[in-house]
Amino acid sequence: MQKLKKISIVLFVVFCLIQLLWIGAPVFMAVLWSLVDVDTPWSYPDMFPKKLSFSQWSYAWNHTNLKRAMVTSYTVATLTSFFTLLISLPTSYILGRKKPRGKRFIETVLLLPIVLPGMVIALFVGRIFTSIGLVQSMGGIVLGHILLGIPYMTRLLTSSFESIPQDVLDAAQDLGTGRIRMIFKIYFPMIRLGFIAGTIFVFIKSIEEFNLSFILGLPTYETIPTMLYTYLGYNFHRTYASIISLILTVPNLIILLLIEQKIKTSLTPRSAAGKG
Amino acid sequence: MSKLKVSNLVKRFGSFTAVNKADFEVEAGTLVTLLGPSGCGKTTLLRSIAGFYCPDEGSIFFDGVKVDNIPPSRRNTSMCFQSYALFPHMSVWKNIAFGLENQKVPKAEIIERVAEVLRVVNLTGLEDRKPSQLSGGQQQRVALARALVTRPDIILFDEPLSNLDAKMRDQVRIEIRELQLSLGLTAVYVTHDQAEALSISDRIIVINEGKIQQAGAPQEIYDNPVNSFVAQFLGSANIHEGAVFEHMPDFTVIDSPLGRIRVPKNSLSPGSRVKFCWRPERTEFKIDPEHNVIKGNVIRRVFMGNLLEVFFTVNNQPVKVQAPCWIPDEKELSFSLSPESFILLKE
Amino acid sequence: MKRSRLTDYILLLPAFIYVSLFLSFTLFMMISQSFGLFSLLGETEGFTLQYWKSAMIQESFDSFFYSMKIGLVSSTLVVVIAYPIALILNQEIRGARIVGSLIKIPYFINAMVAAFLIINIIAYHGFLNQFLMFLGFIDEPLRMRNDDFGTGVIVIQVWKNIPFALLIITASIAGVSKDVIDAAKDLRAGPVRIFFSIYLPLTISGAVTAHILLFIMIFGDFAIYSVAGPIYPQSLTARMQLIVSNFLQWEEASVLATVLIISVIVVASTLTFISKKYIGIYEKVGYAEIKKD
Repeated sequence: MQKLKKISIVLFVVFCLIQLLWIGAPVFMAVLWSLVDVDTPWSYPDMFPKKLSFSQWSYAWNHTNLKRAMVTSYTVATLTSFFTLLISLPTSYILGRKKPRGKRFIETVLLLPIVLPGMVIALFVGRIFTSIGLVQSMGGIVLGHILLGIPYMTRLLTSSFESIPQDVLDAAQDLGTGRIRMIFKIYFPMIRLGFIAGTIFVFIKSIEEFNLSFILGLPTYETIPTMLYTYLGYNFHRTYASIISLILTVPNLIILLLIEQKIKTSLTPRSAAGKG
Repeated sequence: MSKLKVSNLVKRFGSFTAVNKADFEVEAGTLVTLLGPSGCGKTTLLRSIAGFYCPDEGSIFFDGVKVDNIPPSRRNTSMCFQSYALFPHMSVWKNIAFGLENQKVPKAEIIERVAEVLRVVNLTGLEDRKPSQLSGGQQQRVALARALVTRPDIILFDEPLSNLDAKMRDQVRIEIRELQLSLGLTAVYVTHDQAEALSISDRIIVINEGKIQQAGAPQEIYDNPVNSFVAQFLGSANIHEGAVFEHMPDFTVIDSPLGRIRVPKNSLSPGSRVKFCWRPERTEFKIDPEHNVIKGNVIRRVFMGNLLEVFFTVNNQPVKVQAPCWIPDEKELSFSLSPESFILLKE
Repeated sequence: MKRSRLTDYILLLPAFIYVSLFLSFTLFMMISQSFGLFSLLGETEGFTLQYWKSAMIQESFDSFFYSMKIGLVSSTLVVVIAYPIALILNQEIRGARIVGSLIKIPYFINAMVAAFLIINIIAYHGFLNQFLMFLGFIDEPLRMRNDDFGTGVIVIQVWKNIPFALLIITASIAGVSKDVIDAAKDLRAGPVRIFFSIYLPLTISGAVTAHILLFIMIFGDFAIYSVAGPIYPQSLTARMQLIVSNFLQWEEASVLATVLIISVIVVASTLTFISKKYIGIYEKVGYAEIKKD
């Protein structure tokens, strides 16, 4: 048994090293590329750039559509997570607490938007939106992103509604709690984690979404991913692509690390509710 | 007038009848236990009293007032849940104050009453803890305090001790009983543990398969079970069948697997079938020749510390008795049973 | 009582209606347009199979097989790599948690960013090629981006999707109760038998779910193909998008979309079917292992 444990520790260490290269190297390269100086290009066969500076960052910031794309992306994401939350709350409440007939079926349908190929959905939603005048509009993009946000939001909210022990709700009722107080003092605090996680998840997914923004927004509304697409495609520019990639990725990762901390430190509903 | 009256209550879930014509009353200031095996309908009955279930037939009265259509939030009952059901996101103080806030009790009074109830359940100083930071026994007492603080007409206990370890269980059981007596609370207590029921209750209601089997004071039920279910569920009992042989002036003689035995006088006609039981602890090993003397083969002896449990066969009928530790280690032993130790059962 | 049930159904509706309206419209449009019906912009000419015929050309078949190949190869690779990682992470080793959360990073990286990050490494003059040449393994750089086979795409798909597979597989492995494993050890099962007789049968459904979802995502990929894929053939979605944006041939695009969705359904059900058959085989392997003992 000891031997087995040793082997798995060795495996684990090797695995950690591979992991470091696997994740670290690509990110490191992107950071390097974004720091290449405007006047001293980095080209084959140099192993590393000769000079590093933020000059490309300030150039990209001042002379490309980056600022506008960021405003568009963040506005869309904010609206999307707000409306997705609004639409998903009642549905998740019923799915989580009332166990309606056909629950499995409804849950499956709610998952479909992220299971079906994104480009197919994007193309045909675009087709429908064209005929009702919703393409080339922020509203259209938000409507599309809500569709892709609902699967994540309803899942997270439904499971946090489910995890409230029925006894706790009964106890609150037994103590004469009115409807409004029930919502704000019992339900909300107890689904808080699902609520936060859902909103942030949908926000990040919206920031990252490409297909719908590409079909519904371009050329009027450029989001960060569609802008990246142009710098990776017909306008190939490795440095700009690096900068946009970092802008797209780093805030998301920071947010995720922050909430992971928060979720760990705050209490979990189950631990306190006893075994029953 | 009784504090709580349950009248002919029926509760069905689909085709399953969980409670079948339950009918009983609870006097003010007493603790009544609903005792039965799991799935017998006792919790359904308790939850109907709290208002979580609407009865299909029959009614429930508090102080003579029908409460069938009053939702749980407006019934003046408080329930102590098996899982405690504490609000995990609130401190101990908040948990206890919650019901009072619902009743819009003035802040100053809330502070006073919570402090008082914390003193009563011995939790002073833990006000700011979260439930997850408390031991099982402490959580149980918070649940109790939360139920007590609203001064309910009736307090309902749903197997409150089942999540505690054996030692805690004895201690908390005594605490609950003392509180109930000193505060004069009216309580309905659900349990499947006969020892718990016998020691805590003013009255016990034994339930099986949705039906009330017997109701009465603990001693009364223990000494005079009406049927074999009650006899076996409360304590242990040897049950036999026989037929009435003849009536004597002071007792009745029965033909049974134990031989021809004398039992308390009854009015059954000779020849009719009869079922009876007796408790293992009524066995006498200092044989009284005036009593029924029975001889049996020893199958197994189990040492229990203060006494022995001895398993016999008497005419191929298995019999369990309690014996003092000094009895001789022999294959064949005799013991005696007084006529009064036999109890006739209805079924 | 009745009224509250009605309220329940009304509350259930918002998200459900939103999703089902969107999807039914989308799918309805897709299928009917492939038969020449309900063309919203141009004229509707009535039911016809003409677009199904005209879409069935060599380019379409090539795209179909390209996407199928990339989908099957990448998703299988991901599951094969992720499964042992999930087993390792399930051991109680200090630090497993931190690695567990680090390894999730690519899941939160946009597909196109992932493609770009990896391209930097595997490009013709990229880090990997230079490193391999420095070590003397190869004489001239390997072409891994935009290569005909799609090596680059597969590497990117694997990089990007391992966390997703881990998420699902770890959950199903964590669902195997520790007591069950201890019981097996207590009954003298060796590690191999524990793996084949307990872990695998209990977690195979999780692994298959991951496999199916991955296949669907990779099969319908647009972004990664467009950054790192071969010039020809295109992925099925990329071809579909091209037909629409360059030639405005909605009807033919609809045919391809329909084919795409049907293939997804066929592959998903085949994988489910095979996995059910496999459980028996795993158990036999486990049984053979006892005989050896």
